[in-house]
Amino acid sequence: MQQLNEQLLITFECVSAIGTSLQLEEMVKHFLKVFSRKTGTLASIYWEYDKHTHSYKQLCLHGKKAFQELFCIPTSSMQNEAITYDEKSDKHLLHIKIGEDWIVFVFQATHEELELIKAIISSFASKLENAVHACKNHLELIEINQTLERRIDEEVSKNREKDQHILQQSRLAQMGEMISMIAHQWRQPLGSISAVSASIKLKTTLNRFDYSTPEGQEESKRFISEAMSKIESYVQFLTHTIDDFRNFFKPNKQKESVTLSQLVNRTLEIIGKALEINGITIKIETHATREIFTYANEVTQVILNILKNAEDVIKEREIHNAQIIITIEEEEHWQTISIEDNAGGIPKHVLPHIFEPYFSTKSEKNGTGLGLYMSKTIIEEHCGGEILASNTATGAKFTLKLKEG
Amino acid sequence: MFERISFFKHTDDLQIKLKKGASYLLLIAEETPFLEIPKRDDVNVCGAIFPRIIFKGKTYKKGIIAAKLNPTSTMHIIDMDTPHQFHPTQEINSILTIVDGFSTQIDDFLEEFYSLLPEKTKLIGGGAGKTNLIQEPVILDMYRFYMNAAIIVTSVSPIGLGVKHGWKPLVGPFIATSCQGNCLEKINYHDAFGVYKEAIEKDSDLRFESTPFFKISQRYPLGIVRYNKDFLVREPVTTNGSNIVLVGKLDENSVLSILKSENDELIEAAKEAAQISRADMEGETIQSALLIDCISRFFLLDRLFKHEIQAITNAYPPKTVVWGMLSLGEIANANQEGIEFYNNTCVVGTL
Repeated sequence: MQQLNEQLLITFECVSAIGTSLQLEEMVKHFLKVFSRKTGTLASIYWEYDKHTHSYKQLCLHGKKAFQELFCIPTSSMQNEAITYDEKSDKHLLHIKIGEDWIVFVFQATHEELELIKAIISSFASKLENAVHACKNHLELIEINQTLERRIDEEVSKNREKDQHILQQSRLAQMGEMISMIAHQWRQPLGSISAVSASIKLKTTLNRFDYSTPEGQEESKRFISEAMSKIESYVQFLTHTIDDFRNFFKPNKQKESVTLSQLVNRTLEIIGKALEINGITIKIETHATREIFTYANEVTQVILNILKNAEDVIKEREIHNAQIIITIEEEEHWQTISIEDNAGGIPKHVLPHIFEPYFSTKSEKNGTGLGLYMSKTIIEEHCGGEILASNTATGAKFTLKLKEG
Repeated sequence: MFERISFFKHTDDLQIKLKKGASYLLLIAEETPFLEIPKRDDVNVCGAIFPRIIFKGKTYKKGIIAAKLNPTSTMHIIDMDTPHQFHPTQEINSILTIVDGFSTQIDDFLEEFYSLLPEKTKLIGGGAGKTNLIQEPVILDMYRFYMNAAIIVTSVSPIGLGVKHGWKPLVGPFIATSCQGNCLEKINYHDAFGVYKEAIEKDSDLRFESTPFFKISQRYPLGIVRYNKDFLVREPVTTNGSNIVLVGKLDENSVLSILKSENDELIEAAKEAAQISRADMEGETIQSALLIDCISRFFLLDRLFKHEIQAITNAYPPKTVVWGMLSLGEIANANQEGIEFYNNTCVVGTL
């Protein structure tokens, strides 16, 4: 009875020492320590099975290292709960299988005592096995999480690269559009310069000036002078246009106080001529005159992009009496710019996708599918505002909401 | 291990008596007036302070025992945080270790120290310190005092070991359901002190309200249950009214009993320890008997303690020098198993 009581008490202590940690080595070390102290184990070893290499490695050794040489690497012939005797050292070894792993204990005890100790460990071997599984599952979970984290990092990195690529493409597209707009702006003054120079050439070729008389010489001088003044003024206009474009596209990360009306006017200086040439009427209604503090160049680029899109669709759909209405309003702490055209609107199935990258309804040649995506990024992430798209009775309507202050 | 054991009343005597070129282990009783060990380049000295020392059947609160190492023995001091700096050779058969009795590292130190021992090496030792129960630098050599350190004396000579305490279970078993280091918080899910108090007051007329805690705890230590082995005694030293602080660590969920003993049973156990130790000695020649006995047993047995020493002395041939110390914790690994840190136990080494 006394022996049974002792067995039960020792079993209780050993069972309490199981599963005290989710780190396998820590848990096993603690268990071996308690088990050894209670049962007088001289040394014990935990062999962990590596399923990748199909071999055993020593996870931990408790007790006297001098007994290390008694421990042989487990083999398939090793039997669970077997007690073996090492004649040379006069020690007994008890082998316990825990799942795929093994624990081997060294004792200086009689065979009878060992049978009782074996009975103790056998009574909770399955609990120990479960605890070992829990530790291994925990480790596996940690590894999975680490892999997941690594994959997330890789994906984030890929997305960043993609964003950079998108930005680059967007810049190229903007450059293309800019060149197109410059072409529109320059066409008329270049034509005028050409006309003036042709007129000079014609008059000199046909000898329209009588250089033999003072009057003829005077008339020639006046004509040439007027023609040169005209050319000079056209060249100044060309220079002014270039400056406008350069200011408009140069990276400016500084916020400035500006009215939305000023931003619209800056945009129309760039694209106004092109719209005019294409017979598009621009109507501006201004109901808000307070300044807002924002990234002016970026917002202007967004307005330009929406106007350019409107121009493209008007041309594509050959809309007569085409017009774009720009309305500037204020709502509490917000100011809004609405740009509304009469080109028939955005198809219902397209509307939910227009702010997605690489989404374009334009022909391959003209559209990158980045304009509105970049516009949304600029307004929402950079300027802290909002960009909305909807359809009216006659066409599409884009609204930019920007915070005051 | 030692070739000569001498007793000195004063440190000044050491200057004259210590032999040139020799190594000495000094056991110093805590009331010995001394500031430092005389520095001599030609002598190697390590020492430790204990509550009392034992020499030829008597205990002393003042005085020094100088144990001269034989030429095949070595001695050095190591930090208890780094026992791996100890590299024993395979020829070592016996080790005497004196640890800082109030170090919090004792269990970890002994566990790692044991793992480094050669297969058949036997170990005996004890905890140094003073009865004020405050951790102080009590390990020393000729150059300085050390705290949290241990003296290690190694020898190729075999020794015999006997460990006995004589305590028997009064009530139990209990489960130490909550422990923090050496602080026992709960027994069977109740405040540890409440359970302890109830059991003792039921057994005796002693009352905690009128008797100092240590006077009672000396009589009723706790015993940790081990399979097929004697209890491991743990002595309570103090309480805060709910927890009990022990000398030495206790693992949570340890199975405990409250122990009790009669004086003659304690003395009988000491005698048995000496007999076991003598029988365990492989060699024929007995040079001396090293007694490491708990200071609590001395306080408990009081005037009868001389009978405990006498019982041990009687186990040896006449003229065998019985010497040692009254320690704060006793150390031994009698059966090749892990080294245990005992309380209230009698450890006898036959050298």
